Amino acid sequence: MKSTAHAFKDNAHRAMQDPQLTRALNKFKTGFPMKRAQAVAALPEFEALRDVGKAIKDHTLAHLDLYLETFERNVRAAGGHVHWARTAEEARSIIRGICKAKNARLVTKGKSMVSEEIGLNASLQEDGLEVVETDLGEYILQIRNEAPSHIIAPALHLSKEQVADDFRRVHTDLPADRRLSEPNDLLTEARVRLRNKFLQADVGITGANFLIAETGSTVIVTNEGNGDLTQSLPKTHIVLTSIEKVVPTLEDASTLLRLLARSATGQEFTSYTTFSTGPKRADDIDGPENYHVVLLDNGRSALLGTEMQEVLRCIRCGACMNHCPVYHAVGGHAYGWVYPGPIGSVIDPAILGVKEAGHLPNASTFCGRCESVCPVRIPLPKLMRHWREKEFEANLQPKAMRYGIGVWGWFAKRPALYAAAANIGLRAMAAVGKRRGRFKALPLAGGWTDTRDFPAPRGPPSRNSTGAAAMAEQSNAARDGVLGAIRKAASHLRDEAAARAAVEQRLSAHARNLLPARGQIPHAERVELFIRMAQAVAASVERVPERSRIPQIVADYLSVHNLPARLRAAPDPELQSLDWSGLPTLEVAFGRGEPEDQATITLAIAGIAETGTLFGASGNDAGPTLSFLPGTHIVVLPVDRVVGSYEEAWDLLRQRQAAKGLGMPRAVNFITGPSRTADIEQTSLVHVHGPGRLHILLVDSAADAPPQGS
Amino acid sequence: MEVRDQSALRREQADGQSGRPAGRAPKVGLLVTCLVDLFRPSVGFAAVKLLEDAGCEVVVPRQTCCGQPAWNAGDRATTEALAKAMIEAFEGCDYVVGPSGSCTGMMRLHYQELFKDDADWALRAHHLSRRTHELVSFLTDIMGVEKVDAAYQGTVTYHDSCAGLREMGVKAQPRKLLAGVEGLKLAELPEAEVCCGFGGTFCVKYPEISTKMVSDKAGNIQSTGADMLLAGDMGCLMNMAGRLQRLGSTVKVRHVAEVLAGDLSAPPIGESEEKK
Repeated sequence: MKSTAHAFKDNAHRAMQDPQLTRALNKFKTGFPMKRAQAVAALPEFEALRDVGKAIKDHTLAHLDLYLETFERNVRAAGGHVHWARTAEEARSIIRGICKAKNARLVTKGKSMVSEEIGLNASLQEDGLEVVETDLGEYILQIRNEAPSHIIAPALHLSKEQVADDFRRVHTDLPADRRLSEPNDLLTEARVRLRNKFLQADVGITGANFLIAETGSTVIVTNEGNGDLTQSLPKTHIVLTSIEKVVPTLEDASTLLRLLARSATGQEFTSYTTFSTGPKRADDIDGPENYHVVLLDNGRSALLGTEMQEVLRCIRCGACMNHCPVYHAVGGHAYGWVYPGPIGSVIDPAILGVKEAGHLPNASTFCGRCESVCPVRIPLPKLMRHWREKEFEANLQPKAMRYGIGVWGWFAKRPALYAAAANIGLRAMAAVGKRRGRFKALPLAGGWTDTRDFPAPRGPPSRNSTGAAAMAEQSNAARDGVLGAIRKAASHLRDEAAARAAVEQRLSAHARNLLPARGQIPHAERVELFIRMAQAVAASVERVPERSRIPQIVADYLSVHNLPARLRAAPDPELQSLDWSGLPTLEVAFGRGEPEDQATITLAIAGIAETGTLFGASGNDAGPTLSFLPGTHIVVLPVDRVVGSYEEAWDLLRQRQAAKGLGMPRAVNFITGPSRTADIEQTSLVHVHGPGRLHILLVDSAADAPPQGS
Repeated sequence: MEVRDQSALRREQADGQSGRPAGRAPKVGLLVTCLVDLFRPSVGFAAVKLLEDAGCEVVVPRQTCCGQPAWNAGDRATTEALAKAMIEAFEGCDYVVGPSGSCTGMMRLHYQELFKDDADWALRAHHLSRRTHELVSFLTDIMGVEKVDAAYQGTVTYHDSCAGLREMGVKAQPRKLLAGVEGLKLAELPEAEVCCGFGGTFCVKYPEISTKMVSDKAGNIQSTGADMLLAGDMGCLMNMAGRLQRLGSTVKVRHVAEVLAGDLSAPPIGESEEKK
C-alpha cells in the first residue's frame, strides 16, 4: 500500500469535513469503549491476565528465533511448508509463485492486515488472478477500491446507503429495483455472491492471529466464518503472517485469546477461533491438500533488542484506536497507511521510516488512554516519544518548532533569565489583557487563536526471477537473514544453553497460566453456566434426557423451523449408532458437508462453560464443511463433556488424539454462537457466511459424572 | 474507569520513607509550574493556602520548568539539563507538590526513564520521584484532609485531565474534597476522562484536530448545565476556557485549587477584572 502518512494534516482536514465519517466515528467512539468496559467488568481476572499476556509475549520475543524454528519444524512435520520473507517484495513473490505452481485463477482471502501491508492483491491481479476479499467489510472496500480504516472494523466509516450504491453499481446482474435499504438486505446479497467464490476458489489466503510453536498451528479469530470457508474449501491454503505472532503453547494462546476479543469488540469470545495444522490428512473428510505459511519480517526483527521491541507484543485487537480521541476525530484513513491509530503511530514509522511517517507519533496528546486499555500493556506514548527523539536527532522537525524549543530551552536552563524574559513579554501581554481578560489573536499563535481565545496572563517493485533454483536460494537466504537478525538482537542478552532449556521446559510443561474462576465450579453449575453463556451469544440449547431421543428431536426442530426433512450428519460412530430408521420421512446422509446442505449435525468433543463455546476437530468423523456450509448447525454435546476452560478442552483433545496414536488434528474449532458481523454501520447481524442458527443438544448421561482429565 | 493500579503508589506513599520526621510540619516544596507562574499565580497562592491549612511548611525553591515540553519534543539533552536543575532545586524538601498532574507526573514517572543509563542521577531522580505528588491527591492521600473550609453557591463540573488521571491516579480525590465545599453541587461531565485536545505543543501543531477535540469537550461541558468548569491542570483549563469563550459560553473556568481554597478573588480564567 502506498503511504500518504506524510500528508497526515491534509488527510485529517479532509476527514473532518466529511459528515458521514463524523457520524460513524461518533457512534464508534462511544460504542466500542462501552462494550469493552462491560466485558472487562464481567471477568475479574482481566487485569491479571494482561500481566500474564505481556509476560508470554515478552518471553517469546526474548527467544523468538528458537520458537520460530520450533514452529517451522512442527509445520513441516504436519506436512505443511514454511517460507521466510525478509521484505514485502519477497512475500509477494513467494505467494505469486505458489499460485502460479497451482495454476490458480481465483483466490479467496480472509481478513489480513499483513496482506495490506505488502500490497498483495494488486500484485496477484497483475498476474491475471481474480482476488476476492470475503470478510464483509473488506469485500465492500474492495469493490470501492478503498483501504481499511480500522484493523478489525475495516468499513466502519461507511453508511449502509453508500454500500447499497456500491452493490447496485457492481452487482449488475441483479434486478435494479431490488430492496437494499436495510443492513440485512446487503448482508444477504453479499453472502450469496461470496458463496460461489468460496466454492470455486483454487487458493485461499488467510492471515493469522497467533502461531503455535508447540504444534505448528496457525490460528484465525473471526466472527463471520469467512476465514474458515476460505481455508477449508480450496485445494491450497496459504497463511500470510509475521514473525512476532508466534507463542509457545496452546495454553499460551488460550490466555491471549481471553484478552483479544474482549479488548477488540467487547465479546467474551469471537464466534470462530480455528487452529489449523498442516494439510488434509489421508482419511480426513475435508480440508486443503496444500498448506503453506509465509513468515514475514519486513522491519520487525530490526526492532528486537531496541527500545521499540515492546510494540512486537501487539495482538492487533484495535483497543488503542477504539479509545483514541485523535482517531475518533480523524478516522483511520487520515493516518495514510495500513495501521492507523496509536499502534499505527508506533509501527508505521518503523516500517516506512520517520521521515515519511513522522506526523503520526507527533499527532498525539499523550493522553495515555491507549496504554490504559492495551491488553499487553504496550507503552504507546513512550514509543511515540521515542520516534520524536529519533526525529529530533535527525533534525527532521519543522524549523519553527525546533527553534522555539531551542530558544525556550536556553532560557529555561537559566532560572533568573527565564523569569525575567518571560516577565517582559508577559507584563506587556498582561497590560493589554487586564482590560479584556483574553486575546482574540496573538502573533505566532494562530493555531490556537484561530479557534480559541487565549486567556490573558495575570501577573516500484523489482521482479524476482521465479526459477525453482533461484526461489530455493532466495528462500534459504531469507530464512538465514530473518533468523540471523533475530539472533543478533538476542544473543548478547541471554545465555544460549539456558535459553534453550527454558524453551524446552515451556513447550513441554503446558502451564495453564491463569484460569478464570468463572468456570472452576462443580459440574452441575458448570453445565448451567454453559447454557447461560451459549444462549447469551444467540445459540439455542435443548436438554435431551437420553441419546435415543435425538433423531425425533432433530426431526421436530427441522419441522418447526420450516426446513426440509434432510440432514447431513458427521460420519461419527456415535451419530451413526443412533436409530434414525424410526423416522422414514427424515433423510439422513453421513459424510462431509456439501454446499446444498441446509442443516447438519455434528458431535462436539467438549463444551466450554467459560464462554458457552463448542469445541470440535476435523478427522475421518468430522470437519469444517459440516460446521460452516449449512444455514443451520445442530451440535450434540454429551453433558459429561462440559468442561470449565479452554485448557481443559486441550487436555481432553490431547488424551483423545494420543489414544488414537495421532497428533494435533488438521483443524480445531472453537465455535461460540452463530456467525455474525457488525461491518455495516456497526449493526450486529447473524448468518453471514457460516450458520445463522446454532442449536445445541445437551444430552444427559446416565451417570452425570465430570469428564476424565478435568 | 481507566486508572492505573494505585496500590503500589499508595504503598510507596505509606512506607513513611518519603514522609516527615515525627514531630514537625512536613516541608513541602511547591512546584509552581510554568503556566501557573506565567498565567495564573492565584493558583499558586491557593495551593500554598491549602498546604498550610493541612499543616505543611511550604517553601518555593527557585525553579524553571520540569522539562516536559522538551521531553515530548524528543529533545533529551535539554530535558536532562532541566531535570537535573529541578532535582537539585527540591533537595531538602520532604515532598514536592504541584497544582498539576502533568508536571508532577513528569517528575514522578519520567525522570527515572530519562536517567535510566546514568546510575547516579537515576538514584537521585528516584528519590525525588517518590516524594512528588499532585496537589489534591497529596492533600487527601498523604495529609489525610477530609474536608476543606470553603463555600461556593453553584453547580460545577469537573474534567479529569489525562496525566492526573492516568499517570497520577487522580480521580476520586478532587470529588471527595468538592463534596465538602458548602453549597457546591457537582454535575458529572459526560466523557470526563476523554482528552480535551490540549496536549502541550499538540494544540498548535495540529490545531484543527485539537479544535475538534476541545469542541466536543465544550459541548459536553455545556450539556451539564454547570455554571463553572474545574480541572487540575492549567494547560487543559486554558484550552477549554479559550474554546468556551470563543463559542460565547458563560461557563466560568477555574483551577480546582481556587475553589477548594475558597479564594475566588482572581477573575475566572480568561475573564476581565470587572466580571467575577
